[in-house]
Amino acid sequence: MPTQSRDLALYLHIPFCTSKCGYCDFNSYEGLGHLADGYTDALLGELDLWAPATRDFTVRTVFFGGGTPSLTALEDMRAFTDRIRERYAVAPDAEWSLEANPGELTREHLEGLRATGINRLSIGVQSLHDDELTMLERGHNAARAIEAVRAARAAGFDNLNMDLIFGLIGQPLARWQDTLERALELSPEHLSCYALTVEPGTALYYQVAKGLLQEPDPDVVADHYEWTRKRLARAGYRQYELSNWARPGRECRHNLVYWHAEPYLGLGAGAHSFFTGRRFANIDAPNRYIEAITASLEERATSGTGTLRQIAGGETPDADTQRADAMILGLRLLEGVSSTEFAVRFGVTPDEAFPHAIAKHLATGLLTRVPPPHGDRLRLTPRGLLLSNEVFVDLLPDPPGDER
Amino acid sequence: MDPARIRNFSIIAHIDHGKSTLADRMLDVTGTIQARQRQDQVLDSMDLEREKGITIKAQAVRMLHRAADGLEYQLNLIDTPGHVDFSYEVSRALAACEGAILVVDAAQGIQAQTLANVYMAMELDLTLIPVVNKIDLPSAEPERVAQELVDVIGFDPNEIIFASAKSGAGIEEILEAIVARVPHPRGEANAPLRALVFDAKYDAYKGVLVYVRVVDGHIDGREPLRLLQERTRFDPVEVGVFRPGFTVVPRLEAGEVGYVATGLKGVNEARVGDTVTTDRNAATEPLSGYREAKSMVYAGLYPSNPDQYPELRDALERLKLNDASLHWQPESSAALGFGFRCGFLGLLHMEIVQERLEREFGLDLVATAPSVEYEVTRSDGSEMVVDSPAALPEPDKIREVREPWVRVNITLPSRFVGAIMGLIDERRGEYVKLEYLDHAAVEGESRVLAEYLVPLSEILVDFYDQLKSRTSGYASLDYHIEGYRPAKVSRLDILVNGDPVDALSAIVPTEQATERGRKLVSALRELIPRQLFDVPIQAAIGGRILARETVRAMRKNVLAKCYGGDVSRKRKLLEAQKAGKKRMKMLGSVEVPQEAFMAVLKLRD
Repeated sequence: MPTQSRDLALYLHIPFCTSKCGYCDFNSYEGLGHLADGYTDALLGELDLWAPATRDFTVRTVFFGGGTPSLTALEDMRAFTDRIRERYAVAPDAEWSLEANPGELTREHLEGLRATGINRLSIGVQSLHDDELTMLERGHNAARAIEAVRAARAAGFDNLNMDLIFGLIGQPLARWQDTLERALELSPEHLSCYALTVEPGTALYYQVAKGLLQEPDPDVVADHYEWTRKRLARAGYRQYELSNWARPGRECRHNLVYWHAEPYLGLGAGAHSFFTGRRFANIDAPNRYIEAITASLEERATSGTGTLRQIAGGETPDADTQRADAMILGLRLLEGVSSTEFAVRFGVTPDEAFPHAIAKHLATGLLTRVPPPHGDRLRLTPRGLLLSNEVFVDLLPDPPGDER
Repeated sequence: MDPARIRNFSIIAHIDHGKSTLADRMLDVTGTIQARQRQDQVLDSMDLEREKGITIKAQAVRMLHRAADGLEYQLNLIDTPGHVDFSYEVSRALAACEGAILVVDAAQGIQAQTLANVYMAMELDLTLIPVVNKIDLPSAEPERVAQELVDVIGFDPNEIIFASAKSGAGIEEILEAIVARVPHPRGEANAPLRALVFDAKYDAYKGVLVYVRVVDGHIDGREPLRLLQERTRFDPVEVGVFRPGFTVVPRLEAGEVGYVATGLKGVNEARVGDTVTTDRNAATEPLSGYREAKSMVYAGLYPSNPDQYPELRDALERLKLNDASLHWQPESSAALGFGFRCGFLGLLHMEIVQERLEREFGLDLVATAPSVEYEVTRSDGSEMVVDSPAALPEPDKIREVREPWVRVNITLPSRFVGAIMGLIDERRGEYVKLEYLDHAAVEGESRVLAEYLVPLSEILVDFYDQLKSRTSGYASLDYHIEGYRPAKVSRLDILVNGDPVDALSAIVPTEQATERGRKLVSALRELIPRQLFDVPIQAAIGGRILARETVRAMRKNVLAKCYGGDVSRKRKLLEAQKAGKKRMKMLGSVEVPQEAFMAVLKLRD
């Protein structure tokens, strides 16, 4: 956890989708295609707006997330990547990731993406059963997903992630096992396996609330998860985060920035940033985001300086909250939190900062200590992974230190 | 005013028979309330009363009425609650009156409680004016109901007034009847002051306000006063009447009803039922004439947050001032910490007290399961009274336990008698007698008044709801304490994670203990959320386990996805979880929601 880091991660949000999935609560929209051109200009503009503030930083990772970034026209992708290289100091070995839906990944599009310098794809496969994909309202079928992965290989991508969802409503373990086995046949470098979460505000949530669907049985989901951990370990994948596995050295460097509580800049509608000690987020609605960027750019052009009008709000976490955030994020990682590094950063060890919570959960068996020489670390036990919220709530400052 | 021109009266009725609407209408007709200030059910001033559509507290109002004889009369109405739980409030109000209007619904006829109120009024020697109300309802049978009043209570047919509080029909006639039939107050204007305190409330500026009916003498607002029994001396801050808002007057004469602001800040210094007199030349004999409230149900009230114990104590004291029927004493529970054992008139009263404490005083409370008061003879022959399961001695230390029985009066159409017999059997009750109310019934079926003896503990939970559902809503209920009888009861203990939880214990009939225990642990298994370890829940009597269930350990509580760097939001989700946990009570290391303590109430289906 380097504290003096001048490294920076860039996140670019593409909020457009051809159709919104029932379980998705991300800042994404269908039917806003007409805003795409204006949005591209705004995002380029925001890259310009931030450039002066990041002069001392080296960009190590760039991540295009969404929404559906793979919907973005190749010429726009080219414009983004060019603008980033032009305005920012980008490390030569930087990780350039893009989230993609199988539906858009034609051979031609893939080669075009490769040519822009994108070197990692995260493919939203979710399931390899057609009926489950229909239930999830995904726009592709299993065959198309497999084809997309093969096409990506052929186009020269050697760093692929597949996003999979388990614990689907009514899904028997065997069905999930089948999806994962077939995914393994494609030898991705990275796998994100998420338990389906019924998020408030989603179409799925209302179906559950109305009793049309039953929320997945937590015990069944736990069975799926435990099997997944064993199976992927056997297949040579290392679990490095609650929901993420990778071949050694293929961890997603961009996501590690979040979990290490290191700085990142999120650009685009609704994107989140952690920069100069402040956590903040842009305006969600794409049209209002575009207007705000336009206004900021005009102001900058006339007065030479100005406000970043696209920022909707944020907080400067106080010391207690920063420590809690660092623990909560860091414990998501299987390596856990190094007491030494934590002490260097915050001036106290985790045991000094959270004496009760740590003692309590060493006793409940959700936390464990990895003694030196392996790092003097605190981490979640295998059981603690699935019960991590029980630990996290005890780490929160009391009363909550929110200064919104 | 000349006492000959004063009439003090009250309205008694079964719940929902239109008492509050009738009061509203009289306020209208006498011009006490201007049309534009109107708000339905003016006298139900508590939010809770308007919401529940019932009267909880007695209220008073002064009206001026020019009668047919051309003279102006002062009519003081003291409104009363209709629900059986609050009959105590009724008796207090009646003690301050010379007459009462008896309101009976033209469709429903005499109900169990109508009779209870009539007997109470008769005991106090009040003049009754029978009114058949709601005569404009499509289902109204005014003639038949009038005949019931003649047959059952013995009114003269000519006394009965037919009215519709809704349309205004008969209201003038009622007002005239009050003037003509209700005796005027007969106090001694020149005797030393004696005024009956029939209610009280606390005002932050004026201190305790006592609501009084002046019997002898007068109150002029200048002379120092004193409460006869409590021996509290005070200088009145102001004297006034209810119009219906507080309105200051220079004097309250013998026979009049009004209030005195005492300036007293200590809520214990004034008690309802006390007699106000002058400090000098004081009266010696206190007034009497209302029935002391008897608690029927006892339950523990605890602050969810133990720090709120002093606030709860203050709140109970304030409430007591306004609700003399509430009794309490401090108790402590290993599970819930410090709280109060409270005595209530019934379950509705308990619910209302809890709601008032939470709303009016901003408290968050945990209530334990209600219990009745048992008499216990110990093995050594000594006697004790037990109103809390925790206080019941071990079985080998008990010679005998006696429980309270009530005499239950139920009015219902005769075809439901069979259904009610079943309910009475299930509740360990005994048949006493059956009486036909309407001898004259020709068409349709007749209504009966059924009388039973039932253990009080059996009617506390769900009895009224069962009665209603088994009679399609036709039955009505009244009960009063009959006496104590030997009972075979045991304390059912509940163990959570191996430890007995005093606040979950219940006293149950020994023969039903196993079944109750089984139902209780299974209800608790649903109510107690999964913890980080298996939590056994057991029911036991004297160490013998009767039933067991297990709350399986939780396996999953995780945020699978970390939303693209939205750490603030993730923290908020966790904060919400944390807040949820904080509302739980810790029993050892087990988190238990407040509802669990009322689980015993949900056992009957």
